[in-house]
Amino acid sequence: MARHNRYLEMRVLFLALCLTVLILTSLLLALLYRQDRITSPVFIILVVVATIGTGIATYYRIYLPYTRTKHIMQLFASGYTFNAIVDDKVPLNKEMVDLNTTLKALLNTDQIMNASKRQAQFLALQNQINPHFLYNTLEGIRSEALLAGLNSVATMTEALSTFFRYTISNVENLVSLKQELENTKNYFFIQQFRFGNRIKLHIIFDGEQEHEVLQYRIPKLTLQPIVENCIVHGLECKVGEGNLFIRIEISESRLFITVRDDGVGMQENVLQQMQRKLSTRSFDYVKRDEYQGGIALVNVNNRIKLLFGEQYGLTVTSRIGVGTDVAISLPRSKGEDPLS
Amino acid sequence: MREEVFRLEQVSIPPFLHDIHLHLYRGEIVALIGLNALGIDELLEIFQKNIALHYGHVYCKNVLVNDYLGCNHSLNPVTIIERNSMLIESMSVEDNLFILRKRSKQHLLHSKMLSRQMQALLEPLSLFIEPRTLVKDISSFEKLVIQFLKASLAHSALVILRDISTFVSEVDLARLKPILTHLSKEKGMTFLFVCNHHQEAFHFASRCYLMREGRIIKHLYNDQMTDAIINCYANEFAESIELSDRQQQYGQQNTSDSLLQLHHLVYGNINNLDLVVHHKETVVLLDSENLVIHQLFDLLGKRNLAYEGTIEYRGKKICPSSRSIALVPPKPDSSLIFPQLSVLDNLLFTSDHKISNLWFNIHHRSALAGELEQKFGTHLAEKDPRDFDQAYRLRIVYQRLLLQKPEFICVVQPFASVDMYQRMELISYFDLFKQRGSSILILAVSLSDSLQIADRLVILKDGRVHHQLHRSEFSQYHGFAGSIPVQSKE
Repeated sequence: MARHNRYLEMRVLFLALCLTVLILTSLLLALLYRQDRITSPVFIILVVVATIGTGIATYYRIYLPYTRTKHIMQLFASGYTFNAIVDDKVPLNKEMVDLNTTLKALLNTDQIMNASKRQAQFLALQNQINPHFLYNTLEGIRSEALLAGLNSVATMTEALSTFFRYTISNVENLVSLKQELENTKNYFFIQQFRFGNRIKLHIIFDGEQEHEVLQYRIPKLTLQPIVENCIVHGLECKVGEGNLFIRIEISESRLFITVRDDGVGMQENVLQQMQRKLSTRSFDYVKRDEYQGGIALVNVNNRIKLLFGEQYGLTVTSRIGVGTDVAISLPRSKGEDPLS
Repeated sequence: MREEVFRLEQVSIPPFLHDIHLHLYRGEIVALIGLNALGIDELLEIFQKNIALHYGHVYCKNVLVNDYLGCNHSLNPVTIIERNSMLIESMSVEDNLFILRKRSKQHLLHSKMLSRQMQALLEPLSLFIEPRTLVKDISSFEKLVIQFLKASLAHSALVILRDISTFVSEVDLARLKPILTHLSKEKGMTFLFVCNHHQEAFHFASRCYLMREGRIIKHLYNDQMTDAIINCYANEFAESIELSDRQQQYGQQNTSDSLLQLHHLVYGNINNLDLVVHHKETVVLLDSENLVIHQLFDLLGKRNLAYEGTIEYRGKKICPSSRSIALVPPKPDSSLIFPQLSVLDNLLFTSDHKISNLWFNIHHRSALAGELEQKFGTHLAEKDPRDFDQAYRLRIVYQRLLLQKPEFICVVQPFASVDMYQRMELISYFDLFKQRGSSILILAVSLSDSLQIADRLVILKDGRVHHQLHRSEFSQYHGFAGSIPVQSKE
């Protein structure tokens, strides 16, 4: 009974039964009172108490759980949450629980399918451009450049080689912040060959022990896509010098990373669209063939939410003439990959 | 590692709040600047109380206290300090601090010990108050500090300071900085400074959140807290107020006949005050010690009589009930709105000297209602002013003044607790008064953009005029002035 009492459907049926019994008993008592077979009107108080009790039980056992379930369904429909619908404490009925479980399985299948798709794309890329062949060739170019006294070409080739190695070779989900920052610096270094001293990277550890912070683990390729976005959409179009700041701060449970540029900033409508995509969850972006701006941010956001939960992720603020801020909220962890 | 006091993650309550991400650490002072007022009340309520959320998570001291799956309406350890003090005026400071608190378990009061404890609390703040002094007898600044101590004794995780410059003078604001720094660094108290002006926020805070339309639109770290960045977010203000043609109507030095004259006025803290307001002139009277303006306003309204000296209007004794004089007290959106009257009656009730038989002639009133529909909407005669927000009610008050056409207007702190868009609207009303030839006297504790509508700034000290600046000299003023007219910057 207790197990069935978990479902709203059973609670409603039980309440209907109670109400029927209450009405019939009241009618019977009223009839007996009218025929003077009951002399005291105390039964009226009993009926009133029973009615109030039923009302209170209805409110706490049916109305409140129903509104909560309804709210979760609305949030699910608008893309805010996926997990809450499965973890609903008072589901409508058993069939609804089965449906939600299937839905969760389907979502996971979809997710695995997309991940596999991406993995296949990576593999294809790896097959087409054999990494060892690529590294060897780049090392060859570097040696030739050094022999010819072209130090800048040698340094650039080394940076490119390291960047490719990091991006393609490693297969784990989480890497240390140090590794991710090294890769980002490497990427920025390559970009600096194009932009020269026009763009500058500043990494700020906000009052924290740098050595300790660098050991925290974050999803691989979290920072580089955001930095790339900042350069391509923010700093490239800016007249004059552009700065990119990566600020890292930690609390007892969170690792906050803010990537900020002082570039041209986003138009209000583009920003709103981006915020909408980041606050709700959808995998539509992987289905689209055509290029749309900000896919990298949505991809990073979804990966973080899939790995750690829906309370983590990205937020974007921007203003024309001021620049764009991307704030990343992650759990503070030195531990294992949650998916492994 | 920093200890987190509050964290809000993707908190949404449509239509007031959208995707609010915000975190506050122990021992820091963070500012929250509302470019408009939407969502500020709701956000502060979320800090105080675990109310129903559309979506999001709220953590207090790293513990999940509220989320979208359910709320328990419990209270968080948060203190809000605003214009209306939480202290009981008729009780002593000591009683307010030690007796009226949740964890007070003493049955027998040990007065000497409490006095010693109180002095120990006040000493590091370089403040001395007699323990048995009644709260009503201490200054606004002292009340503010006592409220900090009360919050500290109650172990509040967060102290929210809301629009404190509207009741604490500029001199006291300068004294407040070391006190806040001491409390945050030594006692680990966290402060959220909620205000409308970035200069105040930048003076106190180490980080700052900008909010508009219920969204956090920028998180400013220390290196970004500059006027240049703020100006990019307040460009509407710059375009319509600072850079527009309206500037030309101000600044002509007027030495023609005077309209209002205060001669050797003595009353309360007012000590031999002399002041002249000329025809068509706007004067800002800055009471940087917060001692005089309310007493002066009472004297102008004849609620009290001066011990010595005179107030003359057009060379005669002032008569505040005359329609040629308008006195606007603080917070006119509540004090000058009559809830028992409709919006239309609220708008018209001081215009009876302009239109004969206004109250008997329904055609006149409906014709006026027709003209006002564009600004206030239809069916004005049936609308209740209480159903509208602060901006609408302020509009009613200032439109009423426009219809009344007074020659002299005295306003107390017109820009206190109003957001940027409301300030822009109020400035346009003051521009209209100016164009219609009214003289305006603004009584202020903090300037808060008042200089944008001023021809002259008069600064009071010790109850008398200390010095004055004309519009071209406003850049010499170094306090919290809000926006300063462009020509004086040049």
